[in-house]
Amino acid sequence: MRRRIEKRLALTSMVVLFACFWFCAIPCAGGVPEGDPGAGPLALRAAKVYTGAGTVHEKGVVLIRGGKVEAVGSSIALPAGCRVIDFKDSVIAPGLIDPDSSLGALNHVAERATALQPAVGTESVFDRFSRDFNRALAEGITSVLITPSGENIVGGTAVAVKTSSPTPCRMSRILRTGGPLVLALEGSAYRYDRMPTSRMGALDLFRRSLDEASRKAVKGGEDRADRLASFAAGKLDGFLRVGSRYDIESAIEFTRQYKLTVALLGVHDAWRMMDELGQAGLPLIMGPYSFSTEERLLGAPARAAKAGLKFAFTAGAPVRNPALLRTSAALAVQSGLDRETALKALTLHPAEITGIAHRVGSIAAGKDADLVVFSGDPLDLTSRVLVVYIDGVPVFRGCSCHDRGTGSEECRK
Amino acid sequence: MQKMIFMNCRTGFRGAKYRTGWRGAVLLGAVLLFASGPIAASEDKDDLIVVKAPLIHKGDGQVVKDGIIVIKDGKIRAIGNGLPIPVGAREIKSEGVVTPGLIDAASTAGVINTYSWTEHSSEVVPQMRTLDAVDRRSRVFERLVRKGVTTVYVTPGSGSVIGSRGTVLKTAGPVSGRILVTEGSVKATLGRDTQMRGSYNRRPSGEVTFLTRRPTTRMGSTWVFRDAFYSALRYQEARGKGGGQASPHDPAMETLVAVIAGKVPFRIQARQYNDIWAAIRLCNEFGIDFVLEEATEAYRCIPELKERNVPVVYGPIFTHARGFRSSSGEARRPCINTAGLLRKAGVTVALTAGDQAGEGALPHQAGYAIRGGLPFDDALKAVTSVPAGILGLEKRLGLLKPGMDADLVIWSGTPFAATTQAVTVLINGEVVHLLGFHASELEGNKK
Repeated sequence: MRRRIEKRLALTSMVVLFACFWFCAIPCAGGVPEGDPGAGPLALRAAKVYTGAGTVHEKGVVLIRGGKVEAVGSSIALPAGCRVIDFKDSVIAPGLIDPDSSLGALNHVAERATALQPAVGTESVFDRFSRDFNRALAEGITSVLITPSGENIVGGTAVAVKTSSPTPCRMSRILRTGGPLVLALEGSAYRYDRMPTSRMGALDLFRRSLDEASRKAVKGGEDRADRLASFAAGKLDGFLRVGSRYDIESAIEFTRQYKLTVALLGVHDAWRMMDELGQAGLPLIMGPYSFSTEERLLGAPARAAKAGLKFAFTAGAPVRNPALLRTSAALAVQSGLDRETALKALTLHPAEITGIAHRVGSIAAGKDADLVVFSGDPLDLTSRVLVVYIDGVPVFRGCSCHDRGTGSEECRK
Repeated sequence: MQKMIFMNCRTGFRGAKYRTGWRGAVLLGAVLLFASGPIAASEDKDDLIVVKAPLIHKGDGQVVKDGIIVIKDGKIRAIGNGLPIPVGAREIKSEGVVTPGLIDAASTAGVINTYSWTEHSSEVVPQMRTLDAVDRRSRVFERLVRKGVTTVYVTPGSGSVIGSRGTVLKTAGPVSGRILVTEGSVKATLGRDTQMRGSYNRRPSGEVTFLTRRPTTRMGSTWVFRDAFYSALRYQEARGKGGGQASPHDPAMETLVAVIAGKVPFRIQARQYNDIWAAIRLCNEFGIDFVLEEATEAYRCIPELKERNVPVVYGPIFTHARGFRSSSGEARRPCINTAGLLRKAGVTVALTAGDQAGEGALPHQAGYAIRGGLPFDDALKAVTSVPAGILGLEKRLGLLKPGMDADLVIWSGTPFAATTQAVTVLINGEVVHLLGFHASELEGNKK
């Protein structure tokens, strides 16, 4: 009898244990049931919905199902049983994207042994528990590109990650690995303690390694074993860090000579090279701009837009304050950039430049439901971040600590 | 209708109605018709320009009085007096003196900084390009244009025993079109520069890095020089025998092999007489022709230079050395008569201003050389046709004759005199300097 009871106990405990494992295996959303990807459709309503692709829906609704955006518009039919959260006079925008950060990988973004490091990448180094991610999230940044620094001619490949996720799984955050390849022509790429020590040497090394790489045949898609060869063949995109006007000039010459797919990073001198950049048509990553930035530098985004260039802003977090992402756009608007392009440069354009636009960057059907609810216009620096959704789940709430304004009632639900 | 621009500096000064300083005066005198767009008329397809002046120095010792120069598509088409002025030509009328644009065959214009300019990871870097260390938008080029300098050879840094390859640039015009020679001559340096510049970033801790592996004596730099060329000969032999397997492709060695074969021009910077002698001896050893650069003490080796037929890019001329020249200790015995003495002995002499773009700039160097005994015609040649020949561009630059690039300077008076300045400078037939105007205001400097 006792034995039987013991047996039954063992069985039940096994079942219980199994059940425990089973339920634990289901994503634990940290006590936020409302946006659980499995919990049916969810509609977010706000006074304005910026899609990030240029359209604005007045009194718009974003319909989310399974972590993805199902529909967006002013008058969409909501399915039965759909939960609706009304953010009233707030504004919904796509999650902001910083295409040049070292979040979670600070001080680990340069392998300094030699100046050519095409084989290394940041995907293996970032620490997802880093608090820097939370700081970025609090500013509405939902995706970042973690880029190798400019201390090498070829710094390695970058990784695109989300700043948070509903599940505590590292992989679920990753948007893109193994690219783009980050290269540098700027002053920090030549150092006193290894070859090259001069700009002359740096450009010589750059040119010769590209020559050598382009002699290797790359068939079909990109060659994962030799990323420099893929890059030289134009099959892997790259970010080129440039400092001064002569770096920009060299970068333009290189892209012409080798038919590279590159975006330029750190274009501080873009304001005086805009004619050349406009002809070259290269995407730019500009900023961060702060209130102490010179006015002539701030004029560059407006001129880039006029020249028809695609560009994105960066905050350079965590070295710089992640709040500078929105500040950069706002200051560029102050210096003549139109609001629509400024918002694109925070959302869709960085997604396109970093190659993650199929998942994030705008509020569109089929894309990840990464959204930010702002208390007002995102380009107005007095607007606050109220809630940040990643994959349809609220992962950050800004109103709990300063419950003053609009929409806060809904946040407390 | 003939469009005319009056380039009359003096009457401009004297007869200025609205005397708003020299700029206003020149503006009034020089470009009354500027607003009507003769200079800005780039849409003028028929881009015919005529420069009219009372005195034109062709650059080969010949002079044209009351002549005209006809320019089309950036080239000189005709020069002489009594020529008919073509119909529809823009006329640049001057009361000054015209010379070819000045050429500096050993300038440091546009070099970003010393760090960009000298590669410290090796003493032998002939595969690298000085062009990569040059900012083509540097303000120094504007300063040089205002001094009448239209072409420069940017010389490689002197920190490497065998340095990089120099570049030849025009000093103005659209930036993309300024490069004449991307990879010019290889420059070697004998003397203290390789030792000093190599050591300034040597670690105080005494750690052995490649920065400490520099020559520390003249013996050392001579050794590095010979070692490099013997390595090149061995490399050539190995490549000749076994092809790529025997010896992997080495761009530095390839360049030195080309130097030995005479396919790549070579020059050596040496200031002291013992370094000049060493240069001659080393080049005799490998049978290389070379150009001597700086050559502060060339007056002490005139017979040797004459016998070896070494062209000299001499300069800058100074009485008291300053800066790095002073600290090198190699510039303590300058002689203002050097250029004159070299020329008298029949040595080919070009003049250079080196790093000076102000009152030591190239026209002033020519002035000092004249003061030191160089005849005017030779001084003019030493800043025009001779450097053009040294740079291998004698078919394009240095003379005012049909077919040459329309690079010319209109001086307010006798060229190279201290009281004279460049009023107008044309590069490729475009006005790139006009006294009283900023470079950015002139159409010739735009894209």
